[in-house]
Amino acid sequence: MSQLLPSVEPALEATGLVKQYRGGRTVALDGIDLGIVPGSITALVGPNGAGKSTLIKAWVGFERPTSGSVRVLGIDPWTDLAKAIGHLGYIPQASYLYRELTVVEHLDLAGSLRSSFDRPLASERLSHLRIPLSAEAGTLSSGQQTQVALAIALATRAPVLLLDEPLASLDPLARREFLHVLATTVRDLHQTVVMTSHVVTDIAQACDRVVVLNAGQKLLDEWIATAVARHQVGRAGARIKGRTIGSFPDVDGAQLTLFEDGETPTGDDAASGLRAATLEEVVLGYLAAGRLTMPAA
Amino acid sequence: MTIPAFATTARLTWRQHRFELAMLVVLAAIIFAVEIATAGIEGWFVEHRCLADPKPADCLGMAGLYERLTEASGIAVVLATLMPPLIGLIVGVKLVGAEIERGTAALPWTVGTSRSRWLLVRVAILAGAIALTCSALSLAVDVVTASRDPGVDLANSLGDYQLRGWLPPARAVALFGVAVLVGAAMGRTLPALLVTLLLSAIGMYAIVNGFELLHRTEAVPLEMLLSPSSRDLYLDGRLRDRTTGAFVSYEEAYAIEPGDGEGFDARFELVTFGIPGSQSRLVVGRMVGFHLLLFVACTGLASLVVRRRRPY
Repeated sequence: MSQLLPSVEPALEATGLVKQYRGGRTVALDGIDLGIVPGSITALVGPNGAGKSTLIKAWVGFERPTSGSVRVLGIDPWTDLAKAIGHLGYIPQASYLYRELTVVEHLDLAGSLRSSFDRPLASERLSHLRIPLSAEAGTLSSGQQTQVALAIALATRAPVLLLDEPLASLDPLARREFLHVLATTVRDLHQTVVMTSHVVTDIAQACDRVVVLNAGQKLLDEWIATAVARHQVGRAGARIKGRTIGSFPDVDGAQLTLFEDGETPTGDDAASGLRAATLEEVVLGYLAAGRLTMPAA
Repeated sequence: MTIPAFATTARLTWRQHRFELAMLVVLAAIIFAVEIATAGIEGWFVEHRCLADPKPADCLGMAGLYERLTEASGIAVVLATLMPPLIGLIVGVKLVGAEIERGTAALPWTVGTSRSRWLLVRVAILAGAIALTCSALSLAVDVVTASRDPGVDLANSLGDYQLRGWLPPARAVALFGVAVLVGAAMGRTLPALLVTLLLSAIGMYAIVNGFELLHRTEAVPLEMLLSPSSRDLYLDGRLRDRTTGAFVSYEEAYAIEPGDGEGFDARFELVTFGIPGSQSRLVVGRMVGFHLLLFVACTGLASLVVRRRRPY
């Protein structure tokens, strides 16, 4: 929220959002405050159980907040579901396609459910991807099923898209293709996208904003370009000034530390190993910091 | 909803439930054919006095076929009574329960803006299909009943009224509604099917007995109303004291006239109570109305459940 311009009304909002299950024994979301900038593509990242899907499901009206509220273009989905849904396109984590229906029947179904559904847009996109429209959904690969789901979500022409782990079932090439389609089409249609993902390296190119969640709490909410520019990594134990965020192991086993506005007192960056952080390192640093501060972790 | 959108929904609903619906239609066609064939043969037998013993010569060749068809007809009536409601239960449970179980409900619930409309349109399509098929079966049972009892005016008869007329379709649609509600609430097909079977058995027992209690309060002596063209609904027999004209229980009668000899018979007469066949429209109409109300109530509740529940 702090990064939003005061005059910009968020496309999606969460205020003091708490979601508990089993009478409070499981806390999925623990006081989330978040505003999604209209027209942005936001990546919601975090480990399993971080609360990413629960947050998406709260916006889409599947989960009722235990306390706090969520809004979709100013509408509370729990009190006015039809209106909120009218502004949303959604892809769930697991495929929601009917195995026994063909792709074209899915488009028919979507057209019968929403009068504004842009069938030609969906057909054109799927034909471009060489997905056979006459094939039953159950015979498509999981990557193709995700593309069909994306085509349906895009063709709703909803101003806001909520995509829950859409990359999980895709191979690296299909992931790139998916993100390319997403980025170009969304920009053309001026849509706002929130996408959950485990794959941080891919989203860096397609998304422009990142929100890091862990154990139901928000650890970072920033433009990706700013986040990368403001953070550096250096070898753990080196003399580096700046706010220490967290330490995590590098692939070679060496311990790295993420700094905010880090710099070496002597200016000798090579000796301390100080360099600009990648988005993945920013996320890892915050997740490591979150783990340290979580009493139960 | 526009007509093309409705047509699309009907087509896709058929695609999703084609196996159960095809089963229902094929079964109905077989039962219908057996019933109509039986009725035809029976009509011929009655016309040629073939039921007399010994049979006329022209009946002997048909006797074997008649016996086999009569046996098949008995099975067909049982199937006609049991199968449509059972298929209604399966289709009903699947309608929402399977969607939630398989995760497909998320598609219509997020692409469509009204979950209730999504549910109600599909319920209407499937309830219509079930009602239509069951009505055809009821008609077949009517034809057989008429051929077996040619002198009876079926519109004024309560003979076998649970198996024919509008009651079987209404019952099947009511059970379909219960199944839709349970499937929507539970979101799992097999557990919902078992729960629906249990609830339906209890519910149907309660309905049958509830209406019987109601009929008992409306029962009248049937002896004077018995007509050759009508079949009445017999409920019970009561003893009437010929001296006072009052109805008494057996205990009271034995206290007045101990022993069951001639004195007892001279003093008390057994009077049969029930509903005259001429009341069949009221009796059947009331039961049909109740089943349709049950269907509407269950569908309404299912709509409320669907509007608030998670699609998983």
